[in-house]
Order: sequence, then structure tokens, then C-alpha cells
Amino acid sequence: MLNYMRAEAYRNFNRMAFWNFVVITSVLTIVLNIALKVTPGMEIIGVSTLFEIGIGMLTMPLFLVLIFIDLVTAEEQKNLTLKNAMSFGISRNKIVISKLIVTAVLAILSAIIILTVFFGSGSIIFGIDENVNIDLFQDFSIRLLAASTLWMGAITLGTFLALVMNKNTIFGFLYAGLFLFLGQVLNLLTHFVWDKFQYAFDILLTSQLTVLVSKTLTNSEIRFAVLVGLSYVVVFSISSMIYFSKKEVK
Amino acid sequence: MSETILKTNNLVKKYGNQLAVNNVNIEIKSGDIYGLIGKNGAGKTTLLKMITGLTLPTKGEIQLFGETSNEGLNEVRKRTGAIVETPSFFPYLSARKNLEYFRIQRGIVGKDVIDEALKLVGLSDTGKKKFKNFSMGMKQRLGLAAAILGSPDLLILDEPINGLDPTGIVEIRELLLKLNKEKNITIIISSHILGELSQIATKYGFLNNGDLIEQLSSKEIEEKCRRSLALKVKDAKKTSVVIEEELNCTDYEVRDKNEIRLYELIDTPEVVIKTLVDNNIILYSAHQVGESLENYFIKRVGGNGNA
Repeated sequence: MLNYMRAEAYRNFNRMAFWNFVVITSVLTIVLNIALKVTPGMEIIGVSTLFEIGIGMLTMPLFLVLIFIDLVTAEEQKNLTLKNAMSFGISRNKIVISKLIVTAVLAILSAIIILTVFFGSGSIIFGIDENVNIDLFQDFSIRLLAASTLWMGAITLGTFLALVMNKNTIFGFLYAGLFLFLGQVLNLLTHFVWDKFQYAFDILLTSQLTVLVSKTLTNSEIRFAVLVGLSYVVVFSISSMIYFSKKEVK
Repeated sequence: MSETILKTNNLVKKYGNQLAVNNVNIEIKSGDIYGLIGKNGAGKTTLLKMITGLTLPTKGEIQLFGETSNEGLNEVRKRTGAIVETPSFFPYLSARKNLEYFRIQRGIVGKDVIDEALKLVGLSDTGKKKFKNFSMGMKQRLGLAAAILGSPDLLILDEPINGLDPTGIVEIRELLLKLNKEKNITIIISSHILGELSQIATKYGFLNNGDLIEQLSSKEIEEKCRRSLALKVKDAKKTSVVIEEELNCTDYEVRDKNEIRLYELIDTPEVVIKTLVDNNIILYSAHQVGESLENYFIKRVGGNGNA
């Protein structure tokens, strides 16, 4: 399994699409910082405000991880290359687990680079203000870590969809559509059909990320968000392994 | 006695109500080059997919290097190399980088194996050309390179010469024979080009509509496709009496009321003709024939000349 993951890392790090994404996103964060600096009326006291902006953008990675899932899993369906690993005797479960781990590694690596560029360029452009303190770091870190479990949940959900859908274009639309529209559909169902749909709405990844973005956050809300994220990881990892164990590979 | 590398026991694959592979029993020994022959849709690729683990059998057992359990089969598949259907690689990587991916994946130490594999299949000079820009023949060659990477004990090749020009076909044939002779690599090869298969296979399996209708060695094929004297006569029954009593031959076959195949005295047709004529047999024609693998295949499964 380790060799398989190393091979997957090799091919994805040799992929221009991955580095293009990291570089372009990093550049966009610099552009954002510059835009904030030069735009009149934008009250940026210092880099502490960037933490608030960063918290506000915690939902975005849900959509960005789609790129990594596509690179690692969905494209293999399109290129019909999964059969090479399987005919060599790598077990189906190991393939699934490896794909999840490699996708997470790519996501974490790009997050580290992008956040470093964002805060690094922000520190240079805005300077370190007096509001930057340990409480700020702690608050941001806790929200970021809690959000990470939800992003991992998104990775496992997305990988499951990518294994089920043979066409990566359909997978992409389905993935994005789920996060864009499912919440609204459940909202409507709650209001007009049955109020118990609220429970389903509450355990959506988007709903939990919205909670993590709010100004005040309780410990129980954090714990629940982490629980939801981990539940998605468990449910969709197992679902992926069960589904893939029976799938005829082309 | 050579080791059994692969054995299938009553292997079945069903898709809904359609039986793609029906109780197939094959046995391949170490050092064999096993030619799998069948028409389109006969079940060749389905059989190879089950052997390589790409699809699960509906019923039956696969024994590979002595292993039958799922975990065991996965373990021993590391001793195999395979091309099943079209060779698939990462379109954005070059030949070298695609093979490097497989080298890492398979835990093969030393990058020399890549140069060696590319040289063997004639792809040393592709440089940075990406796989997506390869011709069909180049793709097939790269598929073979990936299959032989790390010197597997068993090669499973599904129509490996598709898309190759005549020179390429000869090169690949010679490469497979060399791998078989020098490294004792056992090979399963399915092909539509029966004439080509007949030049390398040591054993054959004929598949038709999912059934393995015959399995025989190249020696047995030779005997069945062997040379004979084809006699077209007015009365085959009367002719057979003359053949036995005057020519003292017993090795012949009455094909129908007008045709006899004589497997003796093939190189002295003049003796046969004279004897028949002297015994008032009305002979329309006499000529030497040898059945090709294609004709034998057509006879067994019917259809056109291609598998």
C-alpha cells in the first residue's frame, strides 16, 4: 500500500494541473491582499483582519477539494488506469484507502502553501497589528481543525461519488450540485413538507461549516461539527470500499 | 513435470441472464505459451479479466501459482504482468514517467529496468512525448513494456499486437519467444491473428460463446491440421476399399461421398493415382493439402477467418 501511495504521489506531483492550482490560488490570495490594501473604505487594521477573512472562507475548500478528488480518483476512471493497479494484485480496499490518503495529503499540502502565502503576504502588506494574539491564533486554529474534519468528510464523499460515476464530468457536476443545492432543498422540505427534515439539514457539511464561520462558537458546536465530519469519513470510506469491492473495472 | 501456473475450475461469469464464460477449465504449465482463440464476444477478455482480478467470477475457482483465496491471489498477481483490452496509461506523462509510476507502485528497485523495458519494445527514443500523443502501435508497445517490467513469471496479454505494423508484429513475436525461452516466462496470449499465434503458441484454447470447446497442444494441432492427399472421386466407398486392399493404407478419412483424405503416401501421389485408375476408380482431382490453424478454427467454431 505504501508503494501505491508513493506512486500516486509521484504522478500527481508530476501533474501540471496540481501545481497550476496551487500557484494560481496562491497568487489570487496575494491579489486579494493587494486589493484590500488599495480599495478605499476597506477597514483593514492589520493581519488580524485576515484571520477573520480566513474564517469567513472556511466553506470554500469544500469545492476546492473537488480538484484533488478529480486528479486522484475521477480521472483514473476516465483514463481506465485503475485496472493496472488491480491486475498487479493491489487489493481494492487498499486502493480506496490509498486514494483517500493521497487526496488528503494533496489537499493539506496545498492548504499549507496557500495559507502561508495568504498570511505571509498579508503580514508584509498590512503589518502585524496589536490584535494579533494567542487567543486569535487559538480561535482560528480550532475552527480550522474542526473544519478540516468536515473537509475530510467531503473528500470521502467525493471519492465515493467518483468511484460510482464512470464519467468524471458527471461526477463534478453531482459533487458541486450536492453542496450548492441540497441544503436549500432540505430547507424547503423542512418548511413546506415536514419539519423533521431539519435534522438532515443540520448534519450537512455546509451547515456545519456555516456554524464554524459564525462569530460566536460554543464547544458543543465544535464537538458536533467534528463528529459530523468524522461520521462522513467513516460512512463514505466504508461505502467506497463496499461498492468498489464488487465493481467491474474496465 | 512442470509446475501448474494457472488453473481454472468450472469458471463461470454471468452478466444478468447472459453467460459470458461457461464452466471453463484451463490449465497452463510453467513455460507454456497459451494461445486463447475465439471470435468476438467468445469470452476471451472476460476470462482474462477474471484471471487478473478485474472482474469477479460468478462461480468457480481460479488457482494461480497454487493460490485460490482472494488474499492469496492478490499476493501472487504481483508475479504477473498484464495487458487487458487497450493499454491504459496517464495521458499527461511520457513513456518513461508512466513506467516510473509502475516501477514505484510495484516496489521495483533500480531505474535501469525502465531503460531495459523501453529498449526491448523499441520505445527508447520517445523522449518527453506524452502518452496522449502516441500512435496505437506505440501504446501497445508501452503496454507490453509495463507488463514485462520487473520480469514477471506470467504474462497475460489480451491482443498485444493490435495496431502494430508487420515489422512490429515480428519484433513483438520475437520478444515474447525470447522472454519465454531465456527467462522461462509463461505467457497467455489472446489474438485475432491466428496465423501469428500459430508461430508462437505451444498450447491452444478454443473459446466459443463462453464455452471452452477444445484445449490442445501445438503438437496435437499439427496432427489435426496435418498434411494429406485430398482425393475427389465419384464413389468414396469404392475408393476406400481400393485404398485399403491395394495401397495397404488405413490412415485415411472419408469426408463425404465424394471426398477422401489420405494421410499416407502424401509425397507419392503418382502411386496413389495410378493405383486408383488401374482399379477403375473415377478420380476427379488429387492434390496435397495441409490445414491451417484458421481453417481448423473455422471448422470448430464456424464463422469467418478471423477470431
